[in-house]
Amino acid sequence: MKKNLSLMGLIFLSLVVQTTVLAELPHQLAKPDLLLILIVYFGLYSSPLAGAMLAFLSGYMMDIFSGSIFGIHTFSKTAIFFLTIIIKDRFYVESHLFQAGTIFSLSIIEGFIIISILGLVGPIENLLPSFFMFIIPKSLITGLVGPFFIALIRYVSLLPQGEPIK
Amino acid sequence: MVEKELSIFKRYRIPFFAVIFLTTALLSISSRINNVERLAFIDWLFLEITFPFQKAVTYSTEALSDLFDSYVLLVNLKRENVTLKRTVAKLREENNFLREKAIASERLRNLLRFSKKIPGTMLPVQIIGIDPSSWFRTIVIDKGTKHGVNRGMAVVSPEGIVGHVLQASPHCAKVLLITDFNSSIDAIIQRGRARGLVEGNGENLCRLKFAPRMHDIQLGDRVVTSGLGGRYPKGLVIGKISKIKKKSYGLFQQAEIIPSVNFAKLEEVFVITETHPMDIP
Repeated sequence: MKKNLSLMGLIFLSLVVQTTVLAELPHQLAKPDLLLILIVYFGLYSSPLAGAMLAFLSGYMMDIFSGSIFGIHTFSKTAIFFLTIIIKDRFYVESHLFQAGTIFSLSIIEGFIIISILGLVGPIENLLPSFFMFIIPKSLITGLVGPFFIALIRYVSLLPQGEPIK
Repeated sequence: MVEKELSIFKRYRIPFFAVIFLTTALLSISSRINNVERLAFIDWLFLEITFPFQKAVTYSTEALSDLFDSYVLLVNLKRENVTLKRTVAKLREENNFLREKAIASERLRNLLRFSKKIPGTMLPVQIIGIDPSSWFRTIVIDKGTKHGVNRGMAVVSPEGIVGHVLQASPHCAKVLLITDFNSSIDAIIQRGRARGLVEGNGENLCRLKFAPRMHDIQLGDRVVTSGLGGRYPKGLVIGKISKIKKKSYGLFQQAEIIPSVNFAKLEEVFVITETHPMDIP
């Protein structure tokens, strides 16, 4: 319970940093998606039920601060969580390089999920250029920052057992 | 028997959780899809809880940045620069208003009389948060329903139009920027008076659509609000034409607009809390 509350606090903190400090950086600069890294962390190191609930909560909070269709991030972040579980069960995930690659790929996949949902509810021709202009640089920076962020969370021992759950 | 059932559940628990959570998320999308502007109690609660933290972090970041800029780098130049920028912005807005007024007066001769400069009461607000996703363009401001800010109100800055209030809780509100692809504004080209619809393109640009082909639109033309729809007062600057897409067929032409507001540098904006429609005969 205490552990999950700490992780909820971490979600909250990441969201505040993402909507304030990171958002203040110049527009042209790609910014890491801290919540996505957190969700990958939940997928790697927490139990399926607790992790799914935390991923759902992260997406929900992101939806509250974001415009447009409500639930889009709730869905995409939860889907990313379950994809991480699938990856975790098949690969060795402790390598930083692998984590970076996984986070990069999942960020791209999240972009596809979002654009697919938007495509189901309306025209998306305005958004397609954004995919290449913003999502790929954002995924790259998220992938680069991800392993350090994950290592930092493990270092401060939010999850003392810290071992991947099979 | 019970052990067998438990073992089946344990084996399929991840697909089971995946179905439950993803279905809930999809239901959430489907329940809100036709009512984007509705603010549920839980959303309202989260916004209200997060708002003081966002405000504190924003102010601290700004204070630190100001301290560094003002005292370490350029002591007086920064302050002077800020004052000059404000003056330039004010003069630019005044200049635009006069230009718009002159054009309208000339076109309508003596039939049209403007009574007020910008019709309405303006409330200054501070930006405390920016959309965390890369897809949508919204900001969070530090005033809400308790200060008179309500859904649908126009948000402007001295440089031009910013957007409109999408959702409001008692102490903060979410503003949909004109660059968001969900935003659309009825607009006029200031020089040629061609009408069209300005939509956001999801990046930092807008797009002019449904402008009749026969109208003359040129690069650098200023685009202003038409005042139709009642959300935005007439004559507020949206931006300048930067690219024209005119095909050899069809009824309409399209154009790309660079917004006059630099959204990356926005700090303080105004919410028009009370509007008085202009008296156009």
